[in-house]
Amino acid sequence: MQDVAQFWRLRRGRPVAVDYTRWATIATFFLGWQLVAAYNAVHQLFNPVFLPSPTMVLGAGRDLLRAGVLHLHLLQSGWRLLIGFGLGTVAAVVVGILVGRSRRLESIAAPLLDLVGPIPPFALLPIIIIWFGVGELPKVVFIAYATFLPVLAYTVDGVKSVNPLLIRSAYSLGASEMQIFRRVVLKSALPNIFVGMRVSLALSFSALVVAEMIGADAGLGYLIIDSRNFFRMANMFLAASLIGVEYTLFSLLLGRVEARVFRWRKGGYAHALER
Amino acid sequence: MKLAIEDVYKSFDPPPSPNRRFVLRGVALQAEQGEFISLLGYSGCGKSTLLNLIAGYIKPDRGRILIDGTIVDGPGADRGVVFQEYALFPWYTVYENIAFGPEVRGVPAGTAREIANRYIALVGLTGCEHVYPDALSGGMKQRVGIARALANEPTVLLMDEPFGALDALTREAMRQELLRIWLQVRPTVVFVTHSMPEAVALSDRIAVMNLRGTLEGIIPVDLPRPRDPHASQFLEYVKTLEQLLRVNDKSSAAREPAVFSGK
Repeated sequence: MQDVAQFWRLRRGRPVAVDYTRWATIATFFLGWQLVAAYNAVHQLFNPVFLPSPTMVLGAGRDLLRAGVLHLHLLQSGWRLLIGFGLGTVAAVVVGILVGRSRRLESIAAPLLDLVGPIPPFALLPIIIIWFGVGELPKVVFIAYATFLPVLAYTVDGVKSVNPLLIRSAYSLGASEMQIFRRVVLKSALPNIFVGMRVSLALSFSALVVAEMIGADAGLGYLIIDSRNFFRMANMFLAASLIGVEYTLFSLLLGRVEARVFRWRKGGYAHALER
Repeated sequence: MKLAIEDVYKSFDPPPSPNRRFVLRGVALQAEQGEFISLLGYSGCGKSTLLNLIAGYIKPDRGRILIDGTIVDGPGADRGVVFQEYALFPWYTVYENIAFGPEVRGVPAGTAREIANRYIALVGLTGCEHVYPDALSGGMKQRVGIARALANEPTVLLMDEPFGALDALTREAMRQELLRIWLQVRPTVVFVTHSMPEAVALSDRIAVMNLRGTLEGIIPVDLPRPRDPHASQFLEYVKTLEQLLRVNDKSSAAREPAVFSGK
């Protein structure tokens, strides 16, 4: 909890008081949902099956847990995302650095990106499945692809905006080209890369769910589709919520890494005035 | 000669154009081991260009520059550079900035640490080792800049208006600091400035540059250090420099195309 609090403090740049409004809003939301569902169960304003109450969703979670499958779905989705997102990010950073430092490579890459970039990744999923089969590979490739383009754009931008004086001073201190990359260009582009990763994370999660909805036998996306086939509304709500939970966890993790990497970084609006 | 500049020409216009304007035209200058040389002149006279040529960031159109008898071809650790804008790595602490040179040159970790700590002490930054540059004042940043350049024990130390971004008080203090450090380490220094008192206070010789891209003259300063900026001899030197600069101000309002054009 400590870390979560610290994360928010870093993001907002002001000290954390216990935010009562925040928790009150969340509590009211679930309470309201529960009440509407309970009222509807009795008075049948619409088919009660359509809207299970939060307790029913929790019950569904308990049942799946007892059946020993819930954690499998969670882990499966988590792994797929981690690997796909990781591969996509690494590939984008490598390509981004190469493209960002060479005008010729950029003039080759730019039109290619203009061609492929406007196509939503989801439109390509069936093609990817035909190319890579129905196993784990197409899903990971698909998630990696969805991650790749935004991270690439931000990386290229970061590399191009490295302060040339820093590169000069590194050369004059005897650094090799490889050392300049690691110790100057990459470090300098890192804030941009993280912005790209944040943007991509949402896309990667969408890609994950879509990929699991089409031809998977485990994972939270699969759970939604499987539950739909049996009209288990509570399970569908549960899976959707858990995707949200996983996204939040990944986002927090990213924030923690960011805070650690950017200890040196100050500034921005929050630091302009002492309040 | 630690540093020899031989008949250097430099233009930023591309070679084929007939009326290339030359920033430098036939500049020649030498510096001996441990000598402190200032390049003095108006902005736009090419003094920073000359420094960038020595640093190896840009290439001369004609002529050559030698360090210890070796022709300069690109930047290298034998020429330390101190920038007006400091150019410290913001993601590294004071210590990491200063240890950067020894580390990338493959000095063993223990030795690198010892070197870094020695230069941190030399510039008076002990206690600030683990602070990031963002948290330092301008004067402190430039101390890091100087220590970082010196930690490589360069043959020549190049300083491009290093105190140009500092306030007058700090500037005066840093001048004295630089003098103290120079007397202690005795590197060969090329110091770019547009301040006449600064040049007189620090230099063994002052190379005065004009707007035509040539050297107006080289003035040796024969005063014992530390130099009192109010002493009459000191002011005499400043007056001489003023006259040199005024003459060339009249004679070269514009930079006419050079006789020499490219190859």
